[in-house]
Amino acid sequence: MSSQPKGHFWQLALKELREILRDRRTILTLVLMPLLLYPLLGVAFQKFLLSQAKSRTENIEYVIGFESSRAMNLFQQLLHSKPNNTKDNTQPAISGWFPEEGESVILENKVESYDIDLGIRYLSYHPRKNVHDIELIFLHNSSSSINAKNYIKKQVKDFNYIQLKSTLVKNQIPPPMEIGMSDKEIILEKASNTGISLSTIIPLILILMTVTGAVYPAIDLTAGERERGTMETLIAAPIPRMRIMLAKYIAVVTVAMLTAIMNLFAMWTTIYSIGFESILLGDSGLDLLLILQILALLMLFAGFFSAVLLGITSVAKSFKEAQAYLIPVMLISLSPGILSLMPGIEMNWYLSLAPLINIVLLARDILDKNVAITPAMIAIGSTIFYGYVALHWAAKVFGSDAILYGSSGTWTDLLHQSKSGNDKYPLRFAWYSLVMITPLFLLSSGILGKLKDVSMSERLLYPALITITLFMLIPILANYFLSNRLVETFTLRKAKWNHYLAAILLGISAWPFAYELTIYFMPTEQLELLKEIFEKMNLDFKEVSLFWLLATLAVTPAICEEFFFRGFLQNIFSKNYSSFKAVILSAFLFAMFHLIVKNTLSLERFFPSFLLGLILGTVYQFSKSVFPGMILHVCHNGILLSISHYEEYFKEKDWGFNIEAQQHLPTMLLAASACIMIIGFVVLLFKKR
Amino acid sequence: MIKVQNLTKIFQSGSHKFTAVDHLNFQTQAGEVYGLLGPNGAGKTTTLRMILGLLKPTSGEALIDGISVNDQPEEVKKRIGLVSASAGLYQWLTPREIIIFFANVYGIPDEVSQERLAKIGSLLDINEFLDQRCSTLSTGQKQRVNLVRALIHDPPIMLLDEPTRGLDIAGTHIIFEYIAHLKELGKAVIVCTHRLDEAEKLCNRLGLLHKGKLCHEGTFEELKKETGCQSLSEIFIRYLPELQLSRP
Repeated sequence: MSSQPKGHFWQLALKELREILRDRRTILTLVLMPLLLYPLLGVAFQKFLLSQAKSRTENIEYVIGFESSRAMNLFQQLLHSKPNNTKDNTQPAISGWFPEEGESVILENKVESYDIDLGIRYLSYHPRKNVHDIELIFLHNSSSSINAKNYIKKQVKDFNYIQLKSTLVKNQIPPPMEIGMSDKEIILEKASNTGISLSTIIPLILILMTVTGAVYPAIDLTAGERERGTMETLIAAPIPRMRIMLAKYIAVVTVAMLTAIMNLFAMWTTIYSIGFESILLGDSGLDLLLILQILALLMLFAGFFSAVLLGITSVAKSFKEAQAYLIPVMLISLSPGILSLMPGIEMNWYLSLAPLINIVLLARDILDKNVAITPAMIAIGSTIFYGYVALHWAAKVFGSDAILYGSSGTWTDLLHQSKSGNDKYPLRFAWYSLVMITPLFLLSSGILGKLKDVSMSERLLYPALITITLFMLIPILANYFLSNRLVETFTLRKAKWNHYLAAILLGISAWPFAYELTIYFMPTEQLELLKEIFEKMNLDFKEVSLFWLLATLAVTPAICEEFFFRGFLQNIFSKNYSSFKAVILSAFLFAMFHLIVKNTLSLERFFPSFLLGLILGTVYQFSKSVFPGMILHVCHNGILLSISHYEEYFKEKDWGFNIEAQQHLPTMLLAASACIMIIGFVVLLFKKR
Repeated sequence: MIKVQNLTKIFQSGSHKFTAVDHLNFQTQAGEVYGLLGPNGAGKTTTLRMILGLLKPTSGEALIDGISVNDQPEEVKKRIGLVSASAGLYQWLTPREIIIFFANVYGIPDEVSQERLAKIGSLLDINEFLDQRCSTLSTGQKQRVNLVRALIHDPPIMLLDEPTRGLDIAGTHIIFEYIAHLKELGKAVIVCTHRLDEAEKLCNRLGLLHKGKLCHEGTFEELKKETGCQSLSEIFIRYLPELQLSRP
């Protein structure tokens, strides 16, 4: 259809690059900021460490571990010093440790778990040479372990020297006694939870660097085009939008990479100049492979972030709007970095699919030299895919009618003045309510998780009260300001008989699929964690009656959540979006609110909750009433809770319900449920002629 | 050359609807300047944007050389040069860089674009600031650069949306002189302007747009005869408020 001469694309990219690189603000973030920032940070960091070190030298104490009391005594004898408290003003204090009689201990494990700073293993004695061989076991990324090793090495050297000297003085014939020594370095497989580790710092810096570099060009080349009136001219040219967006993408990635490299260079120069390279990089220093790995990671980060940023800024109609969108994104971007600092978080298949988290964990694993190939490949592949989706979205939105002529145009102003139609239920009403409820929900989950010394009944009552407050009272209060009728806002209308019947059928048939999805997505470690949480909380449901359990955990949440998610949110969504979008959006938000369980993030709960949300949303969309959904939700929660309550009974009868054992449900039950579910949907769709 | 058939644009947000262009019909031939006139919000700019394919019509279509903009927007874009009052320039690039970039985008070989730039640049008097950053140019200079940019691919059709907005008398004169020159070159031009005096002199035919509808169409002489007014300004002042009142 249209023949595009070769070179157009590169001309486009060149124009974007030329425009952005000539901009003084780009140069400021690209060159001046890192050149000024890192030396200043370096000096401040150095001052801080020196002041810390000064106060610490007065209290340095190393714990040295031995395999037995005999080994410790021998070592004491050899050094002519008592390990316990040989402290003076300049010498560190040494504490000796050895296992109890009969206790079997591996020194490496003790070092690895930070119980001791250094392990000394007595290897052998060579009578002919009069040499005692020992092995020093230390941790590669622990400064106190390395310092303890160096201190003991020096002590041994001094000892050998004194021995040699005294032997020579006495002029004895036998060779002087000496201690032969070898080091054994322990490289941890898991991320350490103490000390400064390069692998935990680098991903954080990578995120900050690439985001800093990509933000300004992304805004300038998208929202900026519209603001200065060049977007129309560009869109009026016969170039496919994806090509325009790709050219912009290349410009943003280039600037992001240049900024990141510049930051990296400034950072390393600062580190070397203040002499922190050994603390951050260990003895091996910065080798070519590490540089290449970091560059490859930078490329992945820059590629992903640039696409995401373009996807967001393409929606904005001005610089201001784009900045408002990007601030939350940048804050969210920091959380995976913090996540990678947490001990015990390991790359698995579903985390390798989680955008952003996957690349931060990958970066950490690469720098820890502990990469599992399959999750790494999934992480890289999915990141490229997400980047492509974001870019595709950006191309679709950039220069579209709404962006090119929307917002500041006259049409929206005209519309805002209108008092009829969906202005009674504006979309922002839904979002404001969510913004208000979400932090309160998280806060209350956190506080509930800390409840102690309360009875089981109270432990169940408080969440129920919070649910009522958050999902019923707050939206009712919000509705008061809009002066709308409660019945309309929350769709408190009667439904048809078939909708109620369908709700019951779907309510009794949906749970096996939610249960199966939970089992499918719940990894073993998560199961263990949940068990621990429940044990720690001493959550014994048997203390309370089934009635109380159902009232607080099944009926109250079901009614309140339906009131909010379907009656309120989906009602507003369906007035502003298509029915399909309204169902998906409300189900998504419903699932997101179910990710927090007792102050813990349970990602595997997303899919079952989303499935339930879809079913509830569909029932709502057909019935246009909140009541059938409430019945469905109560049935669903009630059945799952009853199964949990009678778990022991089912185990005895071998009915196949055992989530702890990750046991799947019998096929017959699943098939029967599927049939009931289909009937449920048919009844839902039933229309009286 | 340009054929607009039942072109309609309805902006919708939720249940709100606003008809910006309402079943518009008109034609323009090569060597003709068509003046699309009307008060603010009449739908002139929306019409131009639909002709160029920047806005999707709600119904109807615009045909350029028989090609539907709905079906082949990129083929249509190749044949049109757009100058809009709201069009800006890349402030960190020079006029030369911008013009050559757009020439390249439209697939014009370098030597041809350089030659054209020299020729049109002289006519519109932009040579002295061709290598200056655009951020340092005045409004008039920027508008002339925009005109050269729109002409660099030698399009047979020119759409000019308020091309003299914000310009002084000299700047306005240069632009209208050039529009007359475009007519001589055999280009089909649609111009939206509030400079009614210039439109009277320059336009072969005029279309009076009000609230998205074409109220009157014809030559200036025909319009005078039809309304009994002696100038376009008079028609605007007397006739359009009357139209507003007569609308249901």
